[in-house]
Amino acid sequence: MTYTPPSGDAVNFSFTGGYSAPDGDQVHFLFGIVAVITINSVSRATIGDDDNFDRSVINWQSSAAGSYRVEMGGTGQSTGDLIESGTIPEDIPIETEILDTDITTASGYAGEQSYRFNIYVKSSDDIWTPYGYSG
Amino acid sequence: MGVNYTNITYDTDYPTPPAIQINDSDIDIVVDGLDANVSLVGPSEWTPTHYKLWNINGVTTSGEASWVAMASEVAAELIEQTGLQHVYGQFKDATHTSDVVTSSGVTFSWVSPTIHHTVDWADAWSTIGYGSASSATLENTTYNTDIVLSKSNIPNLRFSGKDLSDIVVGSDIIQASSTGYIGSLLAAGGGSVGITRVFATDTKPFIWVDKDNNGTRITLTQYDGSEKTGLGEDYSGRVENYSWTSGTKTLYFDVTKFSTYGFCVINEVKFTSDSTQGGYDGSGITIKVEVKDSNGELVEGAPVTLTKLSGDTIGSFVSNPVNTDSNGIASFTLNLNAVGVCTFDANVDSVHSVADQITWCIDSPAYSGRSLLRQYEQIRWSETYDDAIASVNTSSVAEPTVISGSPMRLEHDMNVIRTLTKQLKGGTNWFDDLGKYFDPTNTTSGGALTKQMSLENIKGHTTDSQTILLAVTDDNSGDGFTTASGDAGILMGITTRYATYANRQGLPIFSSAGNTYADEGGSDNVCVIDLINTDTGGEFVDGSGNTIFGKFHDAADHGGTGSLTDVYVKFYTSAGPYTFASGDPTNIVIIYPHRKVMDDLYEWEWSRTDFVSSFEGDEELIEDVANLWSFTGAVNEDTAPTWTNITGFYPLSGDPSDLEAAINTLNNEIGDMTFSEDNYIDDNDTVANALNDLDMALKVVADSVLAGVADKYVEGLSSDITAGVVHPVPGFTYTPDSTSDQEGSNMDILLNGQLLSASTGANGVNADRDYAETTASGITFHMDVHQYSNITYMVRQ
Repeated sequence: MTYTPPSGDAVNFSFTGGYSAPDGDQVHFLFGIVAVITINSVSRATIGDDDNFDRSVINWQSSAAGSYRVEMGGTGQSTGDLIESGTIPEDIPIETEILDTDITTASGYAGEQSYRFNIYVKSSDDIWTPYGYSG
Repeated sequence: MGVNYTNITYDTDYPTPPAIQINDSDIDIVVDGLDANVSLVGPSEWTPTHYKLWNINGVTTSGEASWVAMASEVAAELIEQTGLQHVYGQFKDATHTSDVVTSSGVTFSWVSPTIHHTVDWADAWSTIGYGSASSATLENTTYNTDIVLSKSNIPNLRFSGKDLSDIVVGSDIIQASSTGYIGSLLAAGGGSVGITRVFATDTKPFIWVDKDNNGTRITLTQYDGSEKTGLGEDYSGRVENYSWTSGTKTLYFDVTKFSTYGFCVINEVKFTSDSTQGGYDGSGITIKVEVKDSNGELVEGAPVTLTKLSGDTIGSFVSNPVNTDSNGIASFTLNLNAVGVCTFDANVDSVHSVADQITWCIDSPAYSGRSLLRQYEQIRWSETYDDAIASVNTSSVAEPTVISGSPMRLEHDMNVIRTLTKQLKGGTNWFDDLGKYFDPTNTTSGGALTKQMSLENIKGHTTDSQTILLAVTDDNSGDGFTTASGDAGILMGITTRYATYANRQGLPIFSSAGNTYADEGGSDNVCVIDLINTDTGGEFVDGSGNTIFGKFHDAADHGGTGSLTDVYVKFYTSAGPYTFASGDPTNIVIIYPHRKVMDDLYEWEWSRTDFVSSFEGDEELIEDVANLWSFTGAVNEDTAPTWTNITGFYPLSGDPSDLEAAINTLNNEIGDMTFSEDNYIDDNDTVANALNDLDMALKVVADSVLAGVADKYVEGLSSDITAGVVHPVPGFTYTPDSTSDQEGSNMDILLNGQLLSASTGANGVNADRDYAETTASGITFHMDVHQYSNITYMVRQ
């Protein structure tokens, strides 16, 4: 999506979080639709290896339709271990099941501990939901 | 505000036994269905062999619950109630019974989906477990239509609270939005919706879809229900699993993309125009049938059957029935084997051809080049109409032997004729009416065009029937015809340009004998001939001023031979025949009219008559008038001249109204150029000569007078002049004159009134008199001249 500032207006960008661009680096701004992910529920915050207690279901939805990836770990789209991928319609809840084997067979498995599961959706502007994005 | 991540802990010690969880959840959850999975884990200290659960499956108390062999997961039905509910349980073995274990909470919450008024749910939600139902069916009993929404076919399908009001069933359509809830699920995750419709008749239906919801229908299925070929990406794959059961009149199909769908049936069966209608015995011919559905589209795969309705059996079909191809055409090959004629009917599913096909078989002729079949083929193809064939005026186009490898057809001949007809008559189409033109002999309708343009109406009005009168001059090779007193006419040796029986372009001739000449038997309907006096160029008149003219007479009556050899010009006056008298012209030229057919008219003959004497004459007159204006200074619309300087005593101060008056005024002002003494100007001199003569004479007098007149200068001395010193003259120059005995002749000097004498010698060098003319600007006195003296100079040159 192309952003066109109103005629005669200036656009000021301010960075929060103490960000400063490295010397010589350019800062690229992308303007477009970013899918906002809402996690409606997680059936279990902890799973074990006993039958029927070895899985948790994440119920989530996206504000924009598109391809999605559920990854364990990582710091952005395609940097973690892929758990599930597919296509999601706009604002329709879907469920993603996390099994203990998904965790134990992932490259990022580091023993019994808490693992972060990131959900990314690619919007119609070809922008993936950023890591840690809250809309 | 959402966040796109969550944390899940992996712990092999989870959960802490004993534990009961509903729907794999260790938190209080909300569900929209009554079906639940209950996960169980017994105490860790001993291994349970049995369990019992209550507050599920209609059992609400421990006492009602039964012990069941141990399992890690069981299916259960929640209690249909509002508010938070739990599942309770106990485990046991032969020696142990555990304490009551309570599951995490679960709340049943159900909101019926919104649907359109044209449909209802086939089953009550309570009977299918509300949101636990694996599928739900929307039905329209009026139109016998079921729409099955199945979770197994539609990924992520849920029912509670969903808006399904875009799904509509009508008498002839099934419609749903591609952007509605179900449509979005299908678009995102694939899947399909099953549709069943029971029809009133057993006519096999086809499925169409409304193209872009704009009313244009695209038929999607072939006769057998498979997808039509060539649908394109937008329409291919929309409908799957077509199934038609004619006995129950039931159609089932799956829709993978929501839109507006409807049904059509075979509607039209007809023989194509290019079907062969006959052939020779022993040959094969092709009969084609086109099939369309009620959507107007060609039907693919429809079995067409040809049946002989009447007539002879003239052959056998290679195949019958034949399925239509992707162009909706079923092509039959009929092998002819018997001479005769018959009529065929075509039908598909009891839809019959409206116009039946008459087909014949004839014997092969001895010479097929002129056969009836060939004539038939030619005529049969004369069905397209073209009146704009390119290069029609070439033989290769107008008279080809073959066209595109096929023999010449009447159709092409006809189109060549059409094109040439249009070329001849003009207009947009070859068949356009030429229209009417204005007929000056029929003006009862005012200026309306009343006469039809046609060749018939042109007949009799062509230029070869039109004549124009031209003057013929005969001057006898420039000499004129000699006449003498007593002559009654002239015998002329001209052979043409008078009327004969065969040609009446010339003047009729008077003949004494009837029916022998072109005057219709001496009726004297002859025309006059002008006689021109060659001496004066005017018409011949007699001594009394009567105009003498002539008439053509048969030369045979006047000593000549007659028609085509000579002719006699007899003289007349208005009173009758005339005989030349003394004093009449001795040489005459005759001028008479002659009718000439316009086709034979030379251009120069036009020029000598109408053009020169009228158009060009007018142009010459215009040019002459323009020249006259230029000459006089007048312009268009001027009626009187405009003069400058018409005040005081200018000659034209009287503002004369025309050039004659102005010139008369100038004439008077100039006067009679006659002089009394003619001293310097001669009588009848031009004004310029007179003024020149005066100028010259006056110059002579002026020079003479000026020679005796000197310029006078007076000088009062302010100081003494010493003798022998040059004294400058005051403000003038003169010409010293030292001519002997003429010394000082150009200037006189008076000192105190006393005239002095100039010395002799060059510049008075001899100093023998009073002063010397030393230079043009100075003199030298030979004596002292005292202050206050008066010197007068009289300078002549």
